[in-house]
Amino acid sequence: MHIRTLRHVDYRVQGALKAVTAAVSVATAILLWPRLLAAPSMQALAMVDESLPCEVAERREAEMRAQQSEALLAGFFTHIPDALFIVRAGAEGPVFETVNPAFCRLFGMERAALEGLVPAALLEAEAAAEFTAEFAACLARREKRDFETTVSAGEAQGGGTRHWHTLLVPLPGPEDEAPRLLGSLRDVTELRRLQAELVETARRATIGAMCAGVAHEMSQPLNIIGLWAERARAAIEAGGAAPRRAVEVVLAQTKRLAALLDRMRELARDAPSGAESFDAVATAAATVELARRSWQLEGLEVSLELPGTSFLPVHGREAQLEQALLHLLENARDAVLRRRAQDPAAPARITVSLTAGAEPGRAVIAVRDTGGGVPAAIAPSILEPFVTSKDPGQGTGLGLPIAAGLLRAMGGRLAWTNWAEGLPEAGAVFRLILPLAGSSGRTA
Amino acid sequence: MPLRVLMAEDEDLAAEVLQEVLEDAGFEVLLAPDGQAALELAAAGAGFDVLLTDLRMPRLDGRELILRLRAERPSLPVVVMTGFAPPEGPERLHDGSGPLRLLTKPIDLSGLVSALRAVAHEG
Repeated sequence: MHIRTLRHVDYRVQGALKAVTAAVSVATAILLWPRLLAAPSMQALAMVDESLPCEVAERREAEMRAQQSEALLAGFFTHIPDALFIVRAGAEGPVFETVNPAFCRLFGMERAALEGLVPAALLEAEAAAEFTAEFAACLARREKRDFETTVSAGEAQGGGTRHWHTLLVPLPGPEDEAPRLLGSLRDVTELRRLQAELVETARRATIGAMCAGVAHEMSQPLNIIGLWAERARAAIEAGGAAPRRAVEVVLAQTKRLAALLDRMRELARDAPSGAESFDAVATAAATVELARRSWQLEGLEVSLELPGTSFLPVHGREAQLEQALLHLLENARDAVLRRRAQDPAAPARITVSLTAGAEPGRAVIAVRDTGGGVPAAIAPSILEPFVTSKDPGQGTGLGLPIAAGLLRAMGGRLAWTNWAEGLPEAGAVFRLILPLAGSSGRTA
Repeated sequence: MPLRVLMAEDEDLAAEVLQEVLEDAGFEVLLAPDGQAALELAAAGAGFDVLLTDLRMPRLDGRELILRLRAERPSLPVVVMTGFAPPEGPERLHDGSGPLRLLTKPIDLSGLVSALRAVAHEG
């Protein structure tokens, strides 16, 4: 073939096509080579080969663990003695979706019959309404609800009036599904019965202690009246006149008994009405002045520390605050005098101080003494009637409970603590805590 | 010789009339205003045949006074006057030795005189 043949148009077309093909091949090679170079090495492939079974094993283990914990939860759900249930929001309120065997036992029904029921089908109208309201509140606030219901129980629940404690907790779940709550229902009837029994036992013990205290306090004046009257009768029978002294002793002891009765009446009095706003600074100043005047011969130092303000409006009854403060002052005086009788060098100081705002909405009147403090043996019951560290005949043990009662009636309270223990000025601080006028927290 | 009574009583007005009555009845009375004072009188060598004591008294109560005096004189006759009988009964006051009578306030004066004579006789 002649060389010119190659210049024929057909060969030119073929040549051009081959050139294009070659150029594309070269370009592809340029593009692919880096990728080829970056591809995993054989070593890497071998590692992947090895780790793949591990990954599969791990996944299987995780699945197994999930199954186990699900089984564990299911076990709890099935075997726990509390009645558990899952309740969901239905079109017309809560619907019991799942219940556990304890729940079935409580209602004496099969699980299939219980699931899908609404509260009204299971509970009395009032209890069902309460349950529905608590369910709504739990959903709205997304927080735990805790409430107790009294139901007239059927045979399955042991009959009679039962007390049920119910707990509702929101369950996490997808947004597009009806929200669910997990609930528990526990019959606390027996617990409440035992608690009531304990309260009754404590009440009887208090009444017993009170009777013993009253008997002791009354027996002394009664004894003296009896002895002197008997003596007077013997004198009359012997032909003499009634000794004047016997009559005076009998009258004085009768007054002593009457004063004891007054204090007991005060203790038993109900909460007074007619509370008003008044200035605690003026009341405290007047009461402290009264005490200071009465005890001026006893060598006691009674001082008053006032707050920055000269007016401290509190809510209550002024006469009763005066009385409560006077009881505390008398208590402090007795402690200080008793200590001084044993240790003449002991300081004999009573300090009354007023503060506001240490507790929000409250004013505090503190009575601090140097009487050595409340003995540990009677500390737990110091505010109970007839509990006293004083010698027989020196105190009835009614002052502190009366003060506490007066403060409670005003929406306040009485608190105390020992202070400066081990130091010469050791003593007790009693705090009258009162609502400030205009504050909302009047129930302490 | 008259019976000598050591009387521990912290109520002055009761002690006063008791002393008068007992002295009228022929007793000789040693008066102590509380248990501690009674113990000190005994320790100082005061002679007495019977102890008459209140239970609740300052400084040293009647129960402790009886125990301490009977540690020295196990057969000491005792009459106790109390406003509130101890719930465990008079047995707790007995230490198994001397005679003891428990009188509850208000005290009957003729009962007191015969109780003192009776325990003194038993002792």
